[in-house]
Amino acid sequence: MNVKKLTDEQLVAHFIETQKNLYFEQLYDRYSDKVYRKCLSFVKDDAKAEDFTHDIFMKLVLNLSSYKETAKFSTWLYSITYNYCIDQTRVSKKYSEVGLDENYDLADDDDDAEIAELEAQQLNKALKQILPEEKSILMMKYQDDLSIKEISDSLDISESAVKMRLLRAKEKLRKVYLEGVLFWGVIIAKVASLFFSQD
Amino acid sequence: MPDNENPFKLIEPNGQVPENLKKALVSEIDTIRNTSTVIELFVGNFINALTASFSNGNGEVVEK
Repeated sequence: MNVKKLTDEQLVAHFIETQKNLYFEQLYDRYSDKVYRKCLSFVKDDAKAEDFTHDIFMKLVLNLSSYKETAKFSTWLYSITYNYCIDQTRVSKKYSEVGLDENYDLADDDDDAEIAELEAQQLNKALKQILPEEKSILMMKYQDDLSIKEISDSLDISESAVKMRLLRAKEKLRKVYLEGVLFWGVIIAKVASLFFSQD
Repeated sequence: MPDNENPFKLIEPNGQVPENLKKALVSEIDTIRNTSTVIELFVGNFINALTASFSNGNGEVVEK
């Protein structure tokens, strides 16, 4: 049997049935770099990202029997990854749930043009300043291209709650992003004014 | 939104997971599997021995 031709779900089923490492190794080869990069974007430290990847794959093996084929394997693995990274990098400040009703039915928010306007380097800086929960939901939507339904399944919350969290995360990101842009704008203006006043 | 316009795709790090991690994981999985086999055998044999010690030759439990 050529394991390379098997789907992720078939590999999982074979691994549970036979317990042969061959199937796990194939899954690992397919996803280890992806998982490692996601960890890297949370911790920015190679050694820590390696430890996180190790722990995530161990978690995966130990919980493989609880995997249900209702979700794609990759979605399930990424949700383990995000949850693990959030737990490890969580700040003591709790996610503020006050003020907005998550059951409120929001319209699909597809203002992708606004996201496309963000400059990558500034965006990277802004992402470091928001909560890991907010960062992960934005990454699920815009980096992994998961649908609202897939995000809701992997986070085990309602679709309207996903939309609400996405909206809040985007607002926060936009605020932090603009603060960063404004900060550098002011600095450049100051330096320019000093330079020209000396002439 | 095309990938080359999506800033979230552009900021994705391009690191590669070290080679040794795969070996470490596989050997750890083997250890877990072997340990659980040993525990199963030990517990199973222990229970069998206990049952045998309380039963007579016909396999009936002797009441003391």
